[in-house]
Amino acid sequence: MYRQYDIILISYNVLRCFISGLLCRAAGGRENKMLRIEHLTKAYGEKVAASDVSIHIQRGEIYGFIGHNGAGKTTVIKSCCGLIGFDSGEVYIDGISIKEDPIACKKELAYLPDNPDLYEYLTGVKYLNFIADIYGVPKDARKEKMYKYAEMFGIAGDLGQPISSYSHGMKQKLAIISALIHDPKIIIMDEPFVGLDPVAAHQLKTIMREICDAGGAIFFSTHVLEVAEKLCDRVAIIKSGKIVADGRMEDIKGDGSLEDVFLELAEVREDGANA
Amino acid sequence: MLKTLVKIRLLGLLSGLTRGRSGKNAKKKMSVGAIVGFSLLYLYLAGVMIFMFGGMFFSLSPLAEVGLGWVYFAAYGIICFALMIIGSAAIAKTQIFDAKDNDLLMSLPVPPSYIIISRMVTLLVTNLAYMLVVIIPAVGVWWYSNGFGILWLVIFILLSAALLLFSTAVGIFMGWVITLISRKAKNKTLVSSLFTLVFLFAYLYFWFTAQENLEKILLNIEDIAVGIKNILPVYWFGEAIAGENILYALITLVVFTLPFVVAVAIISKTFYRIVSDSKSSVRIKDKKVSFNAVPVSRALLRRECARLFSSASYLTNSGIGVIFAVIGAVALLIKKDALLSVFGQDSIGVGELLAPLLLVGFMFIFSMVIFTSATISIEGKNIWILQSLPVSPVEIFKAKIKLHVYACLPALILSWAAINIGFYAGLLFAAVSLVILALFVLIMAQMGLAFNLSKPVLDWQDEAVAVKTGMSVMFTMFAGMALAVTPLIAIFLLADYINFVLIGWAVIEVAIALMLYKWLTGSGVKKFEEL
Repeated sequence: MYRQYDIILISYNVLRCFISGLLCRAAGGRENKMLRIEHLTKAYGEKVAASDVSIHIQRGEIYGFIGHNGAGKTTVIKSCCGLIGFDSGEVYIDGISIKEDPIACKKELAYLPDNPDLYEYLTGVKYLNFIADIYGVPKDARKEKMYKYAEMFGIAGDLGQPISSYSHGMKQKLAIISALIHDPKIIIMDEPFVGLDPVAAHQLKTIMREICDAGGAIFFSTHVLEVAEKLCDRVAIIKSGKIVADGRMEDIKGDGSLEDVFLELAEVREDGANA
Repeated sequence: MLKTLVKIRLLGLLSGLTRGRSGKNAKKKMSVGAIVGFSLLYLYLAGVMIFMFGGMFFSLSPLAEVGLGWVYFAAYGIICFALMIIGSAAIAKTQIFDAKDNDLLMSLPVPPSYIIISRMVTLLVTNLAYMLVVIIPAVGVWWYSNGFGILWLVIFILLSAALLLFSTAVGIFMGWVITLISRKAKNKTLVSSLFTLVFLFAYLYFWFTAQENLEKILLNIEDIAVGIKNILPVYWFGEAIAGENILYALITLVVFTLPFVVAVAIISKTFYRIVSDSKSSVRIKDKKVSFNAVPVSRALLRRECARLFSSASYLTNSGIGVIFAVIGAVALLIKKDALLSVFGQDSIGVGELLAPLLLVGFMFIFSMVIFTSATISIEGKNIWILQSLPVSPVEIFKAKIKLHVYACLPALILSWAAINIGFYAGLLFAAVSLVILALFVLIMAQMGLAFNLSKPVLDWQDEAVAVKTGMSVMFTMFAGMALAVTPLIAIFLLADYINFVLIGWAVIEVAIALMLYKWLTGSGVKKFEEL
């Protein structure tokens, strides 16, 4: 009788652990997908900016997001970062729902907008210190990272200046450094190469690759298809709020170029006229 | 081309007055109800000023009978001039010298003189609005007392127009000087704040001593008339209108119009240099930097402080109540004997209520401290930073409220000390008054934040728009003032139980503070997330 009882008890515990594990994973345990966008829909009045968008980004992936102006890229990106709400669907950052625990999600990610308006009344280093304080980056670690990236981007000597005196490119570089300073697991960027000089753009690509090789992930939108083609492991093309292509770069572009695929999907004929 | 530029500027001015402000509705026009409401408010304020000036001109109207009618119009001219230049200097700085669209217009095939003229039209329209509250009573009282004909009317209109141009030119010159000084200054915020305070106190001094000065003028009118006559343009101006003197009118027209023409010519010639000077700043490489880690709450508070002290308009417009409280506290200590001698012997027992009444007075002053009423608006395009960081809106709100409270703390303690040292009313009063003042400051902080979350203005180009306009600023100030004076009724009706009244009021303040806290941590958070 006791043996039967033991079997029942053991079976119950195994089942309980299995269910707990499933629940734990759903609640925010480590999963392989760094970013999961599930059936995201967002409308502004009558205009549907994003319709049933689903994207999965694995650890170690650089994921490109391309589309025409007004296609819905920024809407999707901002929804992922918790900057705007969405009407339906869900977004998970490392298994954590952005709706249920936005703070925990934001701790894991870094966001870089297309035109970073920074605090012009702060100096570069004060801005970086502020970001580092929010993320709880220790003093020595932040100093090391700030100088590492600032020297890489050539603005180490300008960190003591007010941001109001920075050029657009310098602000962009400072924003990138602020995104890297807390070692985020996923970096979500909206057209990060705009305003960067060729050296800085090259540095950024190197950093992106290093982050992904270390187990992080990158999700970024761009209009520069050549960069996307060379850099991205996977790519999604969005058109008028809907994903029209999504997959590995090699599969998407096939024997042609990404530009050919993009133009075909945008229905632009060889003579340059819209269909 | 000039017509197009002027049209754009005027449309911008009109749009700024009628556009809805709150968050998602920022691109929509204000509702009809809101436009009517604001119009009535402006009409009310204009009506108060017209009534006040009307009284003053009525006192001066008998001068025409003794051959001193020109003094009437000299006073009219001086008042218009004073009202216009104070506003002109600040507007000239932001609309002409530091305007945000300078780069755009300079890149277009538009002569600089057209850019300047189009900007000056905005300035002239704004000044005309100020001038009208003086013109209407001046003309009305003169017509009632002396009547006038067509010639008088023509001369009056022409010379008033010339005065408008002259005052605008002087205002532009002052704005240019202020711009030059603040550009060269190391601490631009401090310099701009000082200038703002100087102009504000000059403006207030003018208003508060107007009645007293008018009485002095009337008592010594002949001596003053002799003095003013020595300032020839003022005499010519007054005599041209009062005496319908065409020669003086022509001379005055030339004298008053010339500075405006010269100002336009000089600024047009030097416009490119003025604008490019605004961009130039020497970057000193390798300036020493420091790294220190602080907790999240302190980092947020530091950022709020940096924001506040980087903006002269935010600092002075929202924090003027702190300065008034300090001045009031010091004045109270200096003039306490005078107050005691006046109120101590009155028949309605106000003397015994002096301390509580002063407490209400300081609450009224602190209702003019409205830092949080613009704290969300002033984030402007930077709001994405706070929204993307792993910090809860409640933590952000706490930092904003702390800034408001800490900024008021020294003035609060000074005010409380002034009331209780100068007009000691017992230990219980001392304790309760401190609680009441502190809670009131907290409520003002919470209320301002709540209103600004409900009606933010995030799409501004000029931060003065965020700080000065917008419904949250007005609502906070008026609601604060109304709240400050509410205990007055109970203080007078239940004077014999004054300490219980004050304790009861403290309890009410606690309830208000808790309600506001609940709103901020509930609906306030949702509003912030939807920005």
